[in-house]
Amino acid sequence: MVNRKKIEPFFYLLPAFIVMATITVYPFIYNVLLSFHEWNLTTFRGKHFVGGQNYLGIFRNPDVWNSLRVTGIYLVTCVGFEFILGLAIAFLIHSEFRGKAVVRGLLLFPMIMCPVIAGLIWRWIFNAEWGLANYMVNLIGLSGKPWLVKPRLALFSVILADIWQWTPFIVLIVLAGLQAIPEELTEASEVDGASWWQIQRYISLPTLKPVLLIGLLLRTIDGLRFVDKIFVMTYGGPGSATSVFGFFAYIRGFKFFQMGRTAALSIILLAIIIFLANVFIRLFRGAR
Amino acid sequence: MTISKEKMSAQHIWGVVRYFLVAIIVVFFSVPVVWTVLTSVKPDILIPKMPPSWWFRPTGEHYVSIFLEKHLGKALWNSFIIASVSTICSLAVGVPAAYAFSRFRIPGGENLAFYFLTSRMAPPISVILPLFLIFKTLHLIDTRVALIIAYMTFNFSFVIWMMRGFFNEIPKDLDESAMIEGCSRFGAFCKIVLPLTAPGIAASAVLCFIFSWNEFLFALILTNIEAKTLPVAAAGFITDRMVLWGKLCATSVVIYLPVMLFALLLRRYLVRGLTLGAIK
Repeated sequence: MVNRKKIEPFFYLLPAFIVMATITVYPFIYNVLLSFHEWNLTTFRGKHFVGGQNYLGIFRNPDVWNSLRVTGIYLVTCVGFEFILGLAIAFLIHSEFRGKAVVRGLLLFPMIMCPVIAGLIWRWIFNAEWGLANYMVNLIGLSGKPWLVKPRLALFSVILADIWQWTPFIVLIVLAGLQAIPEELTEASEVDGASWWQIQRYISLPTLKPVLLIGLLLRTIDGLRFVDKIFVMTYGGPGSATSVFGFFAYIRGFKFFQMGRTAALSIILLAIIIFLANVFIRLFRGAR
Repeated sequence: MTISKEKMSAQHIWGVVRYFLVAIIVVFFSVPVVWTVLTSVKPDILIPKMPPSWWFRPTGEHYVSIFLEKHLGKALWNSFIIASVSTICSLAVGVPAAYAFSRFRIPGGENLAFYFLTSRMAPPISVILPLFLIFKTLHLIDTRVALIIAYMTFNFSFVIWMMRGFFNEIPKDLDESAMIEGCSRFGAFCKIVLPLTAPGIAASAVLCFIFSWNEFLFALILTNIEAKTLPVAAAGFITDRMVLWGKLCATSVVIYLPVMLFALLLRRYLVRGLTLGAIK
């Protein structure tokens, strides 16, 4: 009986362990080993061991540093704007007004759109000749711009598409956080003469802190994993102006077929994600 | 008197300003969607027209033509089969494991559950590169099986993490009292706990389906023709010479519709799912 109790959990866990081992652990180990080999699928030379060469090569490659820089700009700008806008919108629509339910419903739509489709639609919006962006720009009396052709504008365009897709996510989580604040608390402080700002500063913001940290964690990880929109909007260009790290690694692997180097790149990206995730999780535990 | 009047008018002005701001927000977030739907029913001649025509006689030609194209029907079927099977397999494996994490004292259980979750946070390239090479040696490239397995890498850890949260909300006493009354543990799990978590299972299933349905990069790398899914097919409307916007938008609507329906049904669980259960 005792024995049976001990093995019982494994009955439920075994399938998950088997699946985990075959589809994630084994490929991961394979990937780590691969990162110490040179293997180019376009040549007939097979896989051979090169030690840490791939990693050294990465640190010496200016293209890698460029893609890290692009990723950094992209990440900080996107996450920054998504949080500022998301917070502002959430506070704006938190109070009661007619049509609130409709506005909330509409806000769901961007974030469930297939990212690659969102990218395609925004590529069209930014089309210099017949895109909506230049139409709007013309309406307010400015001249149209070649959005996806100029390096800086291209990065801006991709960032704007991402802001469009993910700001509603921040709005929704902030609204969920605001709903958790008991009304009696804000009412009582209003009676005691606290101003709107004071209530937000001393009651809402501290309660929202864990929610915001979770949002920050998820958006940062997603931002580092991001590639879909780049594919269809700019394909990393013009030049390498929008070549974020994930996209750069993809090109090494599936256009130049340098398997070992791509493996090393993907492991560096994974390490960055794990490091940042741990920082945020520590912060999160502190906030609780 | 005067003070309250001033206060009244200030409030009035704020009310107007707020509606104005809300209107801007609504326009910004809905225009791309509205634009896609409009273009999908716009005659070809009007599509590259600037200023855009907002009023016209709608046409179904793009929808007819995408369904007449054999490869698109196939892509739709592939997307459906791949997303469904991957979801079902992930649930079959993940739900019992989630139950175990919620009910049994497993040494290092908390860390283990979290470890399962990290596989979801890995960058796609680090998952897809080894899978591509492994599938290549197994001759699985361009098959549905390959994508089903690839999607399970993120779906099944998602199921474990989400369902563990749902199981934790159901009191342990419930399965224990059922066991005292003669049920086996497995019987209690199937007859008492599972029905109670049905909404949670449905929510996890729908979210898994959406993640797979919308996925692009894995599908791009692992398929060519036979197992191509809808998002890859949609991206294929961009060629070097021209972009077939009408067809592209019609395909986008076809991809988008089921997801939209699901999202409206699932509103309550959407935030919970997208934050991996952290915010309820």
